[in-house]
Amino acid sequence: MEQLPGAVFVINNASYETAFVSAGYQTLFARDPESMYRDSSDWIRAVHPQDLPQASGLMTGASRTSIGESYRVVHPHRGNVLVEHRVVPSTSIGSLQLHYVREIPLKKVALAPDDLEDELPVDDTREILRAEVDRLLAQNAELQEMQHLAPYDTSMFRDLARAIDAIILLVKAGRVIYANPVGAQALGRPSYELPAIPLAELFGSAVAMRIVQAVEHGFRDQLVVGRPDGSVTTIDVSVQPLQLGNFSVTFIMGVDVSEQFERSARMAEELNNHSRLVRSQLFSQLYARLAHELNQPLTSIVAYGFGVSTLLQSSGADPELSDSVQRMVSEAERAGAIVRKLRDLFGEPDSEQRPIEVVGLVGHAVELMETELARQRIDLQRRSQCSDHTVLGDPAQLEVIVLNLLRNAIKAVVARGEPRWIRVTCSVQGDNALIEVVDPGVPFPEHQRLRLLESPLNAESSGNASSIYLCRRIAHKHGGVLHLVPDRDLKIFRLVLPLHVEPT
Amino acid sequence: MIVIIDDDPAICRSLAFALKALGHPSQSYPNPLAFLKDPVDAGLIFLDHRMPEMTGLEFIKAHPEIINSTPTILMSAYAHEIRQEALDLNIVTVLDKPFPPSVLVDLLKEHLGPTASG
Repeated sequence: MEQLPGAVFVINNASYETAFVSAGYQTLFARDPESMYRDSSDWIRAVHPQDLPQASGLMTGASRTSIGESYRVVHPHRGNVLVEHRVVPSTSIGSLQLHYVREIPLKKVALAPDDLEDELPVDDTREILRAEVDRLLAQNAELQEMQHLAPYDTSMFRDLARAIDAIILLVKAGRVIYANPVGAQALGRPSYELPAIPLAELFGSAVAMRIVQAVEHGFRDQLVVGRPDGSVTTIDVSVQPLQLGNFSVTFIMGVDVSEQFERSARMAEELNNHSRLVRSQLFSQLYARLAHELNQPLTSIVAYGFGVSTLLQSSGADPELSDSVQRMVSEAERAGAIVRKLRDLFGEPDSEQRPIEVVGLVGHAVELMETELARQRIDLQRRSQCSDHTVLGDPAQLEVIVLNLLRNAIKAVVARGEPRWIRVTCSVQGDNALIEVVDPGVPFPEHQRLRLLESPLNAESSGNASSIYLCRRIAHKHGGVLHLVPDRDLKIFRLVLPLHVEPT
Repeated sequence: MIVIIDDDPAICRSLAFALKALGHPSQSYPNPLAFLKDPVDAGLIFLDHRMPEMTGLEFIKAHPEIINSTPTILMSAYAHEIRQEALDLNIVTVLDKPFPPSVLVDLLKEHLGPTASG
């Protein structure tokens, strides 16, 4: 085919994939032939913008009859190059289009278009092209199969792939004999290379074996594909046997979920960080509370002991008795010093304070819980009357409140069964931002409602109480408050935070 | 008369006992509001900080006239958190609970003069 001056490319009329590109493509269009294999309309990127209308007609107009157009190619070194582009549909070799493009010598440009048409060796070109493609087909068994498959995949694969932007692969005898552009991109290789690569090299031997066996039993799974550049793609696939005429093939349809995978991993990591923060905050809060609770009785012991020691001394009692009480007081003081030291070590850390957009705060917390909400089939309803309103505080700490409230709501919905919704609203009331997390779970009876808001050191408090207590403490630290709003039908947690006003 | 304001009855009773042993009568209140409702002429006030109805600092801010006329000592298990703010409001000192008896004796001497037992 290289005997022809100019560029030749062969395109599958059904799938619009490039089956062959001659080296002349690079010379004439100054573009990499690999680009044509990735996208059969690559050549049009080199066309002069003013000539695009006639050039683009060549892409779709040659399904039954031969057509030709002349246009200018913008060459980076030679400037505008006038070319003649002829597209020949072939009936003898299935659904392939043969494109022949060659430069029009300057001396011909002056001729009228009709004269130009007569000058081009149309019939010769067609014959040479056909002969070359036949040779190509004879040498390439996979291309032969592809040619035969074409009448079947025309309606199914192309339309399907376009509609859902899916990866579509056809596997036969341990090779990918067809990959649509999305599929080739996911596998990180040009589609023309795929038939030459054993499945085991693409998917690993275990998965390759499953795909081969899927001729009898289909499966659905996530496959991890190593690409030549070292990156890894995760594909969520459905692998099914498919009969195409006389051919039994394995049909793989899937979507690249690498991004979702990475996003899920990132979300999981963020949630994990939040959990750590919650544990650490809870521990600090509990420790501060514990220190307070211990220091109270220690203060009493010291005061009582001091009083007793003073009275003993003034009453002339046995000095050993007075001395013993003083030692008791000293020990209590020592215990107090230890509690203080531990409190300083594990007490509440300093927190960041900066303006935070209320909508963003809620949005990020909801985003982190999206996977869990979807897993539990819970419909999340979001309503916002806030625009760019901000509150001042530690974003991580405030997010802990919204996350905890969402977690509690999810638990409540799951425990109840139906209906499965959670509503999160943001609004502004006076100088405050209100964030409400509402679920249709069973509302708390009054005595439980009050207990839920008590300190977790209360013997009757539940695990829920610990997290809600922490949320209340965080809200309080931010000058806000967390209510459990009394309601007959719904469980409503309301977080009230003072709005941040930029100093003028 | 020494006034003790603390929501923990054990603190009120034990501190009153220690003061009595040193020869100082005292009157205890469970919160600042109770003191405001039925005040006594105090020579010294021991005021707790963390109380449910009104914190010690809130009381001080709301009634500077009391603090300016009567030496007031703030007590807290979180003294480090409020010390500077309290001192700026004319508080004599902030005691970190539990505090050594020697500190108590020194404060009494400084503000009420020596007692028979001290």
